[in-house]
Amino acid sequence: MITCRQFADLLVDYVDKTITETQLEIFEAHLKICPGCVHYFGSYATTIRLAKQSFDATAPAQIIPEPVVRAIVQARST
Amino acid sequence: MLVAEMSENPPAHDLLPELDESDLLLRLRKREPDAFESMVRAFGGRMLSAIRRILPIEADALDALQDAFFSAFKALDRFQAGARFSTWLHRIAINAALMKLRTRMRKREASIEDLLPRYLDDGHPVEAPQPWTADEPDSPLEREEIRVLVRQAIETLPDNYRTVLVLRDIEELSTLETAETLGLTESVVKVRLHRARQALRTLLDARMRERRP
Repeated sequence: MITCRQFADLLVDYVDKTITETQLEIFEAHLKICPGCVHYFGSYATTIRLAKQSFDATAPAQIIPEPVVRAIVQARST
Repeated sequence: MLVAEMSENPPAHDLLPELDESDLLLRLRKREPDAFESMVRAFGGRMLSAIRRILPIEADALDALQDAFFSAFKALDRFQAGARFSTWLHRIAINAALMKLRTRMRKREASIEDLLPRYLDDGHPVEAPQPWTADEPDSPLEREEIRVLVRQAIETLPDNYRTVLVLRDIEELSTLETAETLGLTESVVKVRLHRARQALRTLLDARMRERRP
């Protein structure tokens, strides 16, 4: 039986698919009995998804101010 | 070692269908007068967006952008045909941002400890985690609001945690690639990534909990 703290420490390996079979067993066993960790796991996974989506490549790219463009071009010329 | 290889699949940032990359590359190699400016205008926005994920301070980001373009121009002969020019520039931009980060002295380094979950001696959390809604935002406005909130939260993370989160979860480098890029061991990368994710979760918790039905 693992604690909630130990469960949290297994999250990175679970999400990144580097968790061992033994760890996976105790990870899943804890999820069955601990609603708090179910919530934490869900929000941890959502956090990762939101981080990826926050820099959506289809969003407009940052605009470079014209003076910056000129400065970069000018600097290369000098 | 800096970022060397990217995935064979076109990365999500590689979206410039209008520009003829091969034509621009030819002009750059011929050293045509306006080719460098064309490169800056065509790719600078996306490169700056990528740099800003690692360097939130605008002045640092613009410095790194300039460094990236200069590095790219000097290394044009090393660009291999068959690869996407925009992908190559993206990699150079990330490297320039990391180089700038290494040289920048921060006046005050925020601690991540305050953002990590706290546990009692018996391993139970001090504060029981509450569920977040699994529903997608109802409107584009709400989606954008959350996106801005997340970006701002990522920007507040301490540098050494933010870079790992950006490289692993956003740039999608492997643990090994991230470790080699940052000069760390894989185990340090994993610890920092986990802490960065936990800290980010803490920063988003209040807002995401409010959206519960």
